[in-house]
Amino acid sequence: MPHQCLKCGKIFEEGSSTVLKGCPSCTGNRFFFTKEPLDDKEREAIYNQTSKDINSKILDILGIDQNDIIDKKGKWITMKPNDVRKALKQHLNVDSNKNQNDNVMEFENLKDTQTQLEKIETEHNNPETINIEKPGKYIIDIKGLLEEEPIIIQKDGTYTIHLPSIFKMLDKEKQN
Amino acid sequence: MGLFGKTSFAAIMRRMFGKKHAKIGIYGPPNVGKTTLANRILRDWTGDIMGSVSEIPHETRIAKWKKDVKIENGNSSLFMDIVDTPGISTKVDYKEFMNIYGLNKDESKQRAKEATEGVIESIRWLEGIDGVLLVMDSTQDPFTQVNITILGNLEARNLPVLIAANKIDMEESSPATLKSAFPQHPVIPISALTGYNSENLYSTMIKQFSRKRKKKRRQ
Repeated sequence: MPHQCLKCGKIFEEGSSTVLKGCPSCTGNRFFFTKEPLDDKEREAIYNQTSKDINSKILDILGIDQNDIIDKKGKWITMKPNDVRKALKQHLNVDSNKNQNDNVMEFENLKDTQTQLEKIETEHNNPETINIEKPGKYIIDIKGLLEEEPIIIQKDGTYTIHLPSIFKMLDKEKQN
Repeated sequence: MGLFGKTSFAAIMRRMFGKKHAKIGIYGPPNVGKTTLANRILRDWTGDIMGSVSEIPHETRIAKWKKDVKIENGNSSLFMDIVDTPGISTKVDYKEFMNIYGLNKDESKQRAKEATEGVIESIRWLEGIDGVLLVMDSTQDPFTQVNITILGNLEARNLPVLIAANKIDMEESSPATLKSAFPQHPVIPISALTGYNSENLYSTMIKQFSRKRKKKRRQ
């Protein structure tokens, strides 16, 4: 029983032709496809969302008061270019604000990446390739070690240097 | 000679004959007197000095290069570029600078970092060096990891080595120990500080480092 009439909440079988004809009890023509029937509150919320007709939706998007373009009889008044311009302007403002925010976000991200890169760079500027923060906790400069930089172990400001690795680095550079 | 200064004339001569010019690296562990020796050589032959010296190890943390130093001995002479390098060690402990030499913590840590970088720099300079003046402290045990590693690598690179057994002005010095430790290389006992036996060092340098070029050509 997956189809539920959004207006009255009546349930119909999956694939029922009622969905095409409209609800026989309330003439509602909006159905929700669901495994479990929605409770009244949920149904109402969705109904309200979907029940707006296309005109009021457009008005919402344009951000224009309904009374401005629809007369008392419910007929559309021809829109003036000004209204369109106004609506467009509003839209663009909203968009550009959004874009600006996006840019700021991106910039912040960029700044973040930059600081991170700088951090990596400064770490890389240190001579050590293995950093003992405390016994059992190591920071290993994998990039350096992969590039055959010398093995230098730093612990609390004291450096232990593996000399053969420096000579090896020199030979490697010579080969390249 | 008006237009040609002394150096440029020498450079032209050198370019024409292309010999007896060598780039010599002064290498060794920290605090053995490398810069003192460099200063001694420069003061004797150019009147210049290489750099500041200090009793605190790792005073030289960036290699210094002096070009076109001419040393003479009787009829023979040698043009050298002299590179004074930071001391090579396997361990740099900032606490040593703090506790023994009274530097503050930040200074000591910074010095330790720079000294470590200096070790790498020293060895990098080996590229392009024609001969090595290896300075050792004759008051210390010569069989250290640093001495043996450096010497082994220099030998592997076929670089002519001259060992300067420095600090013989000190009572406890024992240049003979150094001589017997490394019989495969000439060992000259000197005092870079007082200049004792420097004549002998210079003549051996000319012999040892001039020979390099001929050797290279034969290979």
